[in-house]
This record gives sequence, C-alpha cells and structure tokens, in this order.
Amino acid sequence: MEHPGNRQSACCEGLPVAADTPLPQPLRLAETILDACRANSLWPLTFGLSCCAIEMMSAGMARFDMARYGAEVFRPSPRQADLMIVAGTVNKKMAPVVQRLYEQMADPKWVIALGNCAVSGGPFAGEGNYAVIEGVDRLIPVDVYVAGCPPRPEGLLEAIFTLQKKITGRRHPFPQNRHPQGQD
Amino acid sequence: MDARQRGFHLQVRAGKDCLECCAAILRDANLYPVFMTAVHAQPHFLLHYQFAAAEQNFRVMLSAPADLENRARSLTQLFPGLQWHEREAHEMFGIVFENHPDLRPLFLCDEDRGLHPLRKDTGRLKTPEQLGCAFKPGTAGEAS
Repeated sequence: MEHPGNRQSACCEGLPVAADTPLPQPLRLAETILDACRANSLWPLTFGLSCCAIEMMSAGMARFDMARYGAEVFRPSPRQADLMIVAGTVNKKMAPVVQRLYEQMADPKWVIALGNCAVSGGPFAGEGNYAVIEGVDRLIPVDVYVAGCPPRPEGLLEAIFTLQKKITGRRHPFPQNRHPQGQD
Repeated sequence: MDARQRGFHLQVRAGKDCLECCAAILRDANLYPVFMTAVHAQPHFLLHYQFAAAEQNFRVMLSAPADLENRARSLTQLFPGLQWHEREAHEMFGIVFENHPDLRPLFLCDEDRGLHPLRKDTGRLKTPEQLGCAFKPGTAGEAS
C-alpha cells in the first residue's frame, strides 16, 4: 500500500556526506562492504520522548516491521547503538541528556529527527514558548528529518531508507529488501 | 451545562479560609483528588481542585482564591497526592503553598526558576465573577 505523502520527499537529508578522499582500491572495497553491513543493521537507541515514540513502536511492530530492514534491535544503552531516533519533544530539561547520550554513542553514528517537535519544535515553537528546544539539530547533528505530527510509521521506514541511501548510495543495500511494487 | 459537558457534577466555591475545611469534608466523603490547577485572575489567583468519588460516578470542582500575596494553604496533609500538583502550580504561577514538604520545581529547568510562565499579561485578566468562581459569603448551600 503506497502512501504518496510518504515518498522520499517526506524526509530530507541533513548534513551532506563528507567528500571521500580517494582511498586505495582494497580499502574502498572494504568500506563499501562495511557500509552495506552498517546500513543493513542499524541498531536504534530507544529514545522515544513523546507521542512520536508510539509511531516508532508501531513501526517496529508486526504491521510495518522495521525488522525487515535490519533496524528492529532497539538498544537501551547508547554504547551499543549506532542510530539515535529522536522521537518526540526535547525540553530544555532534557537537552543535556540528549547531548550526553549522543556523545556516549560510538562512531559511526547517525541521527533521525522524527516528528515536527524534533525537527523544529513543532506546535510549541512560537512566541510564548518557554520550555521546548526548537529542533533537536540545535543540540546534535541530524542526518535525516521526518516531518509529521506524528509522521506515519511508513515515514519512519522512509527515513531508514533515506539513511541507508546516505550511507551506501543505494536505497536498499541488499536487493532482497526491495518491495516488489515500490520504488527502486 | 450538564455534567457531561462540564466534566463535574458539583461546583463548590470556597473562600480562602475554608479551603481546608472543604477538603476535609470531601475527604470524609471518600472522594480523592484528581487534579489541581490555578488560574491567573484578578485580584488574586484562583485555585481549582477536582475530586472524584471512589465508588460512584461523581465529580466535584472546588474553587478557592489565593491570598493577595499569592500564598495558599497546602492540602498535602489531607491529600499527599496533591504534592506534585502544588509544585507545578508553584513553578508555573508563583503561588507559595504553606506547609508544603518540598516546593522544588517539577517540570521546568533550574534556570527558569522565577519565570512563572503560565501567568497572563496583566491587561487581560478576568475577575472571579467573570469566571464564575466568586465566593459570596452567606450563600452557602448553593449547589450547581
């Protein structure tokens, strides 16, 4: 079932990938293989802060199933995770926690900002805002932004595909993940 | 407006001195506190408490004004469950609850201690009469 609103335009990439310095051929091959492995087994950190966490949970459940794309193993510890899905509103009181957890993650690490609150403060951004950080990219560098309040679970799946494309250059690192009627 | 629209069945408007007595009566009637909030009104803050019956489908809304210096009696001796509600009212409005065991900020961060964000601009305040919560001494027994 395709939702036109959740095509790749629903999420956009954040920072551009750093220009690769030309590596010698064996290292480039190793990096390509390693990138495909990393992209196909992103381990998210459970960082559901707010309502978008429900969408993240349902994306991990049976109907939408992130496990097909390798991203189901949510780790409670940042030392074991390489993807931080900031799902929800970041308050001023929570901001140092977000930064500390991001710093505790080991490289290579990526961040998905899920939902309007993580992207830009969402419905709370405005004149009378007293407690919400307007966008988690004020705290940590974000790789993929997913708009929506909340975005559908398919939006989170699109974010994972966009991130996999950012890591490997292809939307699905391995061909068996391709949807028969979908893009690519 | 009936109870389904308002959310409560009985509205009690108390003066600031009878707040504790009213709460004690409600406690003896086996009602538990649901929430407590405050409204920035003129000339003093209004405190609203909602109580619900444990066994029946019955809710009471109790309204009382705070002092002119924004002080109020704390109900934590009667209902310890209102501790966090009073902490929130303190940090959001600046109402000081006497005899509260622990009046630290609850939701806001430490830098926002004097912020009191839920106060309104003074040009837009309403009086308790306009809000329907004025206590008129001598009209006890008016249940609505």
